[in-house]
Amino acid sequence: MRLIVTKRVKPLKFGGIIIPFLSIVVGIFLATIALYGLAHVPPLLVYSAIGQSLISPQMLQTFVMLTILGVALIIPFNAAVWNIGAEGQIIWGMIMSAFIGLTVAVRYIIVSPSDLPKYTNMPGMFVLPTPTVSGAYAVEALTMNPGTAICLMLIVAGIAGAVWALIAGLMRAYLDIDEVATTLIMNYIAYYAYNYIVYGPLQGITISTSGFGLSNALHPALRFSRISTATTATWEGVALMIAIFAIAWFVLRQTTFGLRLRILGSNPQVLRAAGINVRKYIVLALTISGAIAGLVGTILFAGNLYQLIKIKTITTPPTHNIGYTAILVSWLSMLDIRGVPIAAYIVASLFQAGINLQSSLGGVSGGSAMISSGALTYVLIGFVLTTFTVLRVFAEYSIKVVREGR
Amino acid sequence: MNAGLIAIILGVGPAFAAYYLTAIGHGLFEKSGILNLAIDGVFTVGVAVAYVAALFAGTAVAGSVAALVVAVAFGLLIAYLATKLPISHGAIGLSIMFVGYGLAALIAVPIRSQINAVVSYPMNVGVDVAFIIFSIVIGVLVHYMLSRTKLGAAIRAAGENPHAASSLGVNVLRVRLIAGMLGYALIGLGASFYFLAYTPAPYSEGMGMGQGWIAFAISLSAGRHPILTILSALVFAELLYNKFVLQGYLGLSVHITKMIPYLAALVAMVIFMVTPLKRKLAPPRALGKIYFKEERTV
Repeated sequence: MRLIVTKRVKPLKFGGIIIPFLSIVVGIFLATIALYGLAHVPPLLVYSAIGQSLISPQMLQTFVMLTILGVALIIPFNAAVWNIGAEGQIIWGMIMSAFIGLTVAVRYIIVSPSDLPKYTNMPGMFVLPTPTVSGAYAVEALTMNPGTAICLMLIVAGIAGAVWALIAGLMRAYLDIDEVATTLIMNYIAYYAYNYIVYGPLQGITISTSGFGLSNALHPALRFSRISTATTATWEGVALMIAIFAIAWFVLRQTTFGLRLRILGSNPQVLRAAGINVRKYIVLALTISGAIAGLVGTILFAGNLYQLIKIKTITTPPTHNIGYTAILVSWLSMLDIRGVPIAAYIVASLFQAGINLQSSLGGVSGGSAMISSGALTYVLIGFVLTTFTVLRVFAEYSIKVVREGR
Repeated sequence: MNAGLIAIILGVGPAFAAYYLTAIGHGLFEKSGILNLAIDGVFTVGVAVAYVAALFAGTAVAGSVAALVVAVAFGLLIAYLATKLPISHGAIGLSIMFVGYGLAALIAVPIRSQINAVVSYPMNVGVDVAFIIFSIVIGVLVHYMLSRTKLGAAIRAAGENPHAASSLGVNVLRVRLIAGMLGYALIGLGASFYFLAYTPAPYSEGMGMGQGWIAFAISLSAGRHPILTILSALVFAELLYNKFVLQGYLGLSVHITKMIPYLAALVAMVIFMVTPLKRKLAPPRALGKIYFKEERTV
C-alpha cells in the first residue's frame, strides 16, 4: 500500500470551512481519549463542559481578547513572520497600564483611621481596603480626567508591547535569528520581569499587598465598564475589538502595505526584486502585532483584574496563556482575517471549556481535580491544533491510497 | 583546593548532563533537516514521565528509560509527519509542544496529589562526575556518528538537500526517522536527568517548561556541533546551578536570577549570528523546508 500526494490544481472547495471544523471535531475526540486514558476524566464531562461554554456569557471576554489577539497575530503570520510572543507583549501591556493607572493617574493620600470616614464617601476617592504597614489608610485620588487616564494607559501599553516585539523583529530582520525562538524566550523574560515588578516598583502599599506580590487595586473610575453582571466583557473592550478588526481588515485587504505584507509571506523574492525593503516589513509586522497585543494587556488589567498578581508557577500567568491560545485562532482562520471572529468564538469556547471542566473535576477520583484549567486547555487546544496542522494539507494537496501491484 | 569547592564545581554535573544531552539531541534531529519546535513540550512530558515511572518502579533508572521511550515516540511521530506530508515544520512542532504541555499535567499531577514522594538518583560527588563523563561520552559518540559514519553522512545529506540525497539512494524518510529516534532519545534522557538528578523535588505542574527552550538556545549558540555544545552547555549549567550564588554575591533579586538564563540564551544566539561562527557552522540548508516532490509516491 502506498500513499500518493498530489498538489491540487485548485484548493479544495469549501476547504476553509470544512477542514477547521473537521479538525475541531477530531481534535476534541483525541483530547477526550487522552483525558480519559491518563486522568480518568469521563468523556461526558468534557463534552458537557464544551457544550456549556459554547453558550456561556463568561466566554465573551475571552472572545473579545482572542479576536483582538487573532488579528494581532494574523498580521505577521500573513507575512510568514511567526510572533509566538504575544504572552510577553500582553504582560508588558499590563505592567505599563498598571504603571499609568496606579502611579501616574492617581496620587495616594495617607489618612489616619479616625479621618477615614471623611474620605469614604467623598467623590473621586477610593480607599484601599486594608491599612498600610504603619496602620494608616491609603486613599487613591485621581490626578487627571479618567478618560485621559484610560487613553494614556492604552497608548503606553501599546508602545510597551510594540517595543517588546520590536526587539525580536530587529533580531530577525538584521541578524536572521529565528523569531519563533526569540519571541518565545522573551515571554519567559517578561514573566520574570513582571514578578520582579510586582514585588518591587509596583508592589502595593497596604499590609495585604506589600511584599505579597500584589499591586494596589485600580481606582474604580479607571476600570472599564462591564456590559452586564453576567459577563466580564466590557464596553471599552468590545469597542476596541471592533475598531482594531476594522482597521486591520482595511489595512491588510485594501492597502499596498497589506498587499506587500501578504506577498512577503508567500514570495519574498518578488518584493526584493521590486526593490522593497523586506527587513522594514518584517520589523513592522512584528511591531504592529506587539502593539495590538499590548492593548490586550490594558483590557485584561483595566477590564478584568484591576490588580497585578504575582505569577506563582510558570504555567499560571495572569494572562491564562491567552497569547498562546491566540495562535490557534489565527491558524484556524486559515490566515484570513474574516475568519478570525469565527475562530475566536470556537477557541474561546474551548478556553472556557478548560475552566468549566476544571471546576467540574471535583468528583473525579485519582487526584485529577488538581489539574489546572490551563493544562486542560492545553490538552484541548494542542490536539485541535495538531489535527488541524495535519488535515490542512488536504486543502492544497490530495492524498490517494494505492494498493500495491497496480 | 578544598573538598567543598570541588563539590561546588562538580555539582553542576546533573544540570550539565540534562542540558547537554537535550541540546545535542536537538542538534542531531535538526541536522536531518527538521525544524524542532516541539522540544519544550516533549521535554516537559519527559519530566512528567520520568517522575511517575521512577516513583512506580522505585528506581530512577526506570524513570530515565520511560522518559526516553516516550520521547522517542514523539520524535518518530514528528519525523514521520514532517517528512511524509507537505506540512509546516513550525506548525507541527508548536502544536505538539502544546499537546506535550497538556499531557505532562495529565500524567503527573494526579499521581502527585496522591503520593508525596520522589525517587531520584543519589546525590554525591561520584554521581556528579559520572553524569559529566557519561554525557560527554555520548556527545563524542554523536559527533563521531555524524562526522565519520555512513549514517551520519546520510543524516547530514537529508538536512542539506533531501532531494539530492534521495536521488543518490538515501531513504530520506528512514534517515529522518532514525535521527528523530536518536535525537529524541537524548532529549528524553536529558529531561529525566533534569528532574531525577538536577531538581528532584515533589512534582508541580509545569515542571521543566521553558527548560527545553534553554537547551534549544544552547544547541543553536554552538551551531548544533556536539563538541562545541559542551562549552555552551557548561556555561548555561553553571549559570543555572549557581543562581543562588549570583543572588547572594551580586545581591540580585530572585526574579532577576531566574531571568538570566533566558537573557543569556538571547545573547548567545546574537553572538553566534554576528560572529564568523555563523558561516563556519551554518544551519542545515533544508532546515524547516517542506520536503515534497510534485506527483510523488511516498
